[in-house]
Amino acid sequence: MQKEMISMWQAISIIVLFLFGSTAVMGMNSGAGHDSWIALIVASLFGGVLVLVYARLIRLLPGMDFYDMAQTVFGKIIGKIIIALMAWYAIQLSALVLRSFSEFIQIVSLMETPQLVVMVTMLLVTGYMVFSGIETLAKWVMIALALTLGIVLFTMIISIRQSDFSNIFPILEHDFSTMGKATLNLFVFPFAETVIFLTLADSIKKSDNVYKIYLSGIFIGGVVLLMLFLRNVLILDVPMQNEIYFPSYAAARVASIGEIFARIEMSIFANFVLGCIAKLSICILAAVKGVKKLFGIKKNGRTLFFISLLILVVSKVQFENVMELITFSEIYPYYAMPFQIAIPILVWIGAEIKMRKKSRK
Amino acid sequence: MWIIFLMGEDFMIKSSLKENKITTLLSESLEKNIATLKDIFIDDDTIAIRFITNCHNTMLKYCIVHNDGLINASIINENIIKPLMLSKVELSRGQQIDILIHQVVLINQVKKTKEWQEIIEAVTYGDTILFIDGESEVLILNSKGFNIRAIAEPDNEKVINGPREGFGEALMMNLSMIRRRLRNNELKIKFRSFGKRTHTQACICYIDSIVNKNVLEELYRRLDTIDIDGVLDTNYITELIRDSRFSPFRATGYTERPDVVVGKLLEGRIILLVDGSPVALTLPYLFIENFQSNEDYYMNFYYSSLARFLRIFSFILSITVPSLYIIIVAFNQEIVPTTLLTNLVRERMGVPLPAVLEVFVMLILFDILKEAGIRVPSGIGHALSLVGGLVIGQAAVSAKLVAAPMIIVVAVTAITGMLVPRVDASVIYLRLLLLILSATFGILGFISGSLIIMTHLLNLHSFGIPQLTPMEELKYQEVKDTFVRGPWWKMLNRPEVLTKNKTRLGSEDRGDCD
Repeated sequence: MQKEMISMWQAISIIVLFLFGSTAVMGMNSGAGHDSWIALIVASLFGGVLVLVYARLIRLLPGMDFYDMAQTVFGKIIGKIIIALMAWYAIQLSALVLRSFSEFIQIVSLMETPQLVVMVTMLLVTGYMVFSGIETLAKWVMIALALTLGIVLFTMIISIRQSDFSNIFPILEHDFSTMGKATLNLFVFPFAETVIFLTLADSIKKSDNVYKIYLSGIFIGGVVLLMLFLRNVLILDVPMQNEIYFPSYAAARVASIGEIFARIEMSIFANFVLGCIAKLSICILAAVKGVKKLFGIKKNGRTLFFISLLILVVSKVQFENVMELITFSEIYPYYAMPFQIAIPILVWIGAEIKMRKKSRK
Repeated sequence: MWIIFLMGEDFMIKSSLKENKITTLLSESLEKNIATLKDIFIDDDTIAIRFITNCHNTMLKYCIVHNDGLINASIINENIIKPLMLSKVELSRGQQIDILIHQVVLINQVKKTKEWQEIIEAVTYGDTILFIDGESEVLILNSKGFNIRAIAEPDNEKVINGPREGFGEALMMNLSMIRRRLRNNELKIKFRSFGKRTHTQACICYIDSIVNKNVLEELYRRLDTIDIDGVLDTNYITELIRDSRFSPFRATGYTERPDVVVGKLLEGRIILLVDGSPVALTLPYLFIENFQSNEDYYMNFYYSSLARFLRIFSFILSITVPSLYIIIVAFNQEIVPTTLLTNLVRERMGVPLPAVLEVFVMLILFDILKEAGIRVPSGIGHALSLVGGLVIGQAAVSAKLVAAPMIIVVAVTAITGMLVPRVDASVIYLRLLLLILSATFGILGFISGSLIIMTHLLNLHSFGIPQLTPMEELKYQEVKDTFVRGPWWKMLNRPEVLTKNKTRLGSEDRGDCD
């Protein structure tokens, strides 16, 4: 069978949707209040630097995914350890996305439906999408991205009347350490999570410019996030925004033009579902690939089934309630950084050395 | 007439195959051959056998065999029997077959054969078999002449502008209509036969320099695997060769119009025609073809583009309207403006069923009505519309069995569904899937359902070609004939996924524009 390939724009769309998939609704409670948008810009700059490493890695070892890269650079045993770690990260991330998603659903929409039912439904949908392969997934992501961007623009336009532009002042009222922490939060979630995309790197055409893919993905995603954040702040103002778990949802609730375009939070809801499913299916795809590589399994369907079950269990067992989820998000940066930064940089250095040696020979 | 013909054929071959595999060869003795023939066609009284002797040389004995009702009697009388009886050509028993072909029989198509199987197929297709005493070969003479339906405009593909010709049931007549429109040597027409018992003739047409050779190869590969006893319509073959067999969507196109067929051929598609069916199969099939109509190309492109857009929009509406109604009524009342909401609530007061069940009942009732409308003899169709419209519509509302908005929802669903008849069956299933999901999970279920449908659509392939065009980058030449129908002077290329030979228009015609 021919290998599944995705085009450059599809790759960029995957990164963009990945970036603001869950962020769009979870909002960016970075802790920096008014200045979150500055933190966001700085974080996206750092993100841009980090993805240069990722892109360099893909350039060094083209046509491979991250799992293959680890194995070529470090040999079988250490490679397998790295694969196991990354696959675990993918599973953990999926579980996290799934859990925050089902919490969101329970709070805003289906109060009496058990979370388990929602989770299983989601996993069935993502399961079908992952089973269809990355080509279908990428095409779908392009459509979903167009939809979500359309909704973001639409909500921005109709909320102009409710926006108060003085809400962004004062600028830079926080001290350096708060800003640093906010930047770190935003850097880890969502920018550095694009490390997952490394595991799909084998589907990029060799002729495409990886730097361009990664950088424009980060750039477009950053701009969209900035717009989202500004919209929320302009409508809700900061004290309000920090109180609410799902600021985008609340912002859309306020926005209205006349009688007809009122109460459009359903569109934000749709946005969130689209983004979450995209992020979830990309993570699951990465996890399935990793587990298949780790144990040398060929069967796609069964692996997918068991990974989905595992994600379900992890997301259910991981946290007792929504408070634990939020507490975890405070330590999440330190937990995720090894996977997002340490391991890729390790593999990158190894790959550089290996390539130097090879070219010297 | 036609049905009788088909059934007769079926019956005959069944009886002959039941007995043996017909291993006996033709012998030189005329009597022996006729005895074998009678044995093969035992209990079949339509087979006519007639012995002839040349009046100048009584040593020359012949026998002609044909199937009554499939032949043109005057051809047999004038062009076969008369020359054979009166021929003064020097003939000698045992070495006359070639001279007969060249100098005696006045028939355009003549074929020699030794095979009984071939004889059976020829007789049952209206040919006349000439048995010659002293020869171990027979001649198959073309004498077909059965009644066929006249050329008429197909009922389900009517147009206001453009050609009105439609295919009939006879294969050769259909081919003539295609050939007339494509007068070049690149149109390839290949015959094949399907059905172990019906031996139905089918033919595959394509334009050699445009067609995608991979698709053609794949088609032949799949056709080779067909092992069915009868083919009465193109759909028999469609279902046997299609991709993703469980999909409710089509993987091959169909049309009854020669102009459409030629249009498809020119875009690099392959046509499959089956004798006895006016429906031509076109492949590969892109999803957008569900929304295309040949009339789009015969009318002003502004109007066509609007119509195209309306069709796509109706397709979406037809799937989503009932579930959106449920979401609004049962889950997210807040998005409805207050005045409308109070009206909705007032209408729904006193209605016994929950909205979901109401939608289900009404949708199923509508489908029952539709099916009844198709099956009912035309004389009592009037009563049906009365019952459907008045009783189920108006009376149900005034009796407070269903809410009035429900009727509107069902009506919109039904009418929008009628705009795109090619996806009719699939729409019903998708609608129900979405309805069930939305009724359970609200907007979440609706989005999940749409995602499943979307993924399914993106997964669809037709002969290795993705049915929804790859949307890598939106180029004008890719979308010119999808959501809009571009003007002819802008349709420079053929659809990229279908063929490698792209250029359709030499260069943009700047003659009378600008």
